[in-house]
Amino acid sequence: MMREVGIIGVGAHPTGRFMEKPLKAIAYPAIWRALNDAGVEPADLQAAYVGNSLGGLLTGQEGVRGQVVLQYSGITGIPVVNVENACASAMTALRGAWLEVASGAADVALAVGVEKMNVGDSARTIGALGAVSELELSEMGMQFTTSYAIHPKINLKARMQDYGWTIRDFAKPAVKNSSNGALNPLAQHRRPLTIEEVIQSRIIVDPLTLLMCSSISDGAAAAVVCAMDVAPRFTNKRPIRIASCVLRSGEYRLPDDKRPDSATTTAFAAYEQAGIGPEDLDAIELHDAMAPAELMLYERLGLCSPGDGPKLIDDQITTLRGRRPVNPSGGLCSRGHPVGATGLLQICELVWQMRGEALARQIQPRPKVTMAQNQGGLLLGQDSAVYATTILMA
Amino acid sequence: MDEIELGRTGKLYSHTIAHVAPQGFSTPFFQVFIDLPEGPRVFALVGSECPVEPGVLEDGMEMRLIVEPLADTPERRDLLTYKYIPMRHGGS
Repeated sequence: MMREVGIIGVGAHPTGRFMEKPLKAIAYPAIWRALNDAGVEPADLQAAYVGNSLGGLLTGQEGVRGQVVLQYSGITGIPVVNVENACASAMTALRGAWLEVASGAADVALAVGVEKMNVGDSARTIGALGAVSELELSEMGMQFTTSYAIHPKINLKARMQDYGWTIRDFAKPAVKNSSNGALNPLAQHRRPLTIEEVIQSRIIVDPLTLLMCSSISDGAAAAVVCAMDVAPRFTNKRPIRIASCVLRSGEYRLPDDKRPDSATTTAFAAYEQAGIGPEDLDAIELHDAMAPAELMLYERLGLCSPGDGPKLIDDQITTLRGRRPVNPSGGLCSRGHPVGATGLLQICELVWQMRGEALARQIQPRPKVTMAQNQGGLLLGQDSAVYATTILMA
Repeated sequence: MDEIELGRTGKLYSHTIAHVAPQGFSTPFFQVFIDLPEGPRVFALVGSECPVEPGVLEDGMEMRLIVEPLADTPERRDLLTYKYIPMRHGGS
């Protein structure tokens, strides 16, 4: 029998370019903001999971990054698990901390996600990002931008043919999310964009332009998870319950494979465990590493029928003041995508929204049921490597 | 598990022109997926004799396999890889 688990504290480091800071100095403020928010001391923690993806290649700290980061924050002695799961490292870390508490092994556990991508050489950073795909892909120069443009798992270029989506449609999520990010003091890019600007920015991988892509970013986020019945020992705030936290891996698919996409199967497993459906969600943070992917994810997560993605923005359903806001933080393109921190940055945003602490970007009324969707890596065989989805309930 | 020998032909499933690349590639360059008659769909690059311009490739066209250096850069010139070019392009 699994125990009920809640999040009692969250914290984040702003997202952007912090050349002078090593990994541990980026993680430190996020960790301590989460501990202070939870009313928890390092001595109260019984386990920690630290997500990071590129630190080995980019900083040279190949091993024990979690222990290094936590010791700098004054957290030592407890079990520490290092988590590398590409762009879904942070949500995988959250899942580890959640399982520790749900299983009864710990009452209080910490999840951290941290990434430092600015190392003064963007070609090296792009190379390291490529290395979270299966080697045969990265060695041939395959990149994530390409994967969103023509990879069979999403193939935005084909959507222009079969759905009639236009380059203007592709720009819409970038514009929507930039206006959310403009209200977020933690966001990397805080300037609201126009459709024309997005379309006219330079082409990275046809048909995707620069302002449709998430950029190189440093950042960190942390969450303290606690057994629901133990939480009152630390805080008066109501814990935000983790209703489900589902992790899956990509599947090898041949071209004629008609099974549902892995983002879909992961989300629907999360809905089932939480006892809800997509229509019950009040707010969503999703993995828009390339902004137009948000349009595909709407249908993959069951938020609309195939092809109807742009309508959710046109009809102002997923905008900040809409019925079901998506990426209120600004998403990966505006808030920022420090890859190994992203899943927990999504969780931080949802917790703030559910508590009514999201300042100028606060969703009204306060969301009660929310979902964070995170994915990462590429495998041979037409699928991402990692899919993770978490549902939170107030 | 069975081993299957792959032939030298395929059909272009999707293609794009990439304007950024990791170290060791010169841009712009084609990146494509090829459907093989044996079943799999594979990621591939396009042979250097094919000019990198819009309209040169068309999804669904027949392609054939060639072997050439991964890229015309000092880092990759000595690495050989499979690439595809349009069937009608070049000799037999």
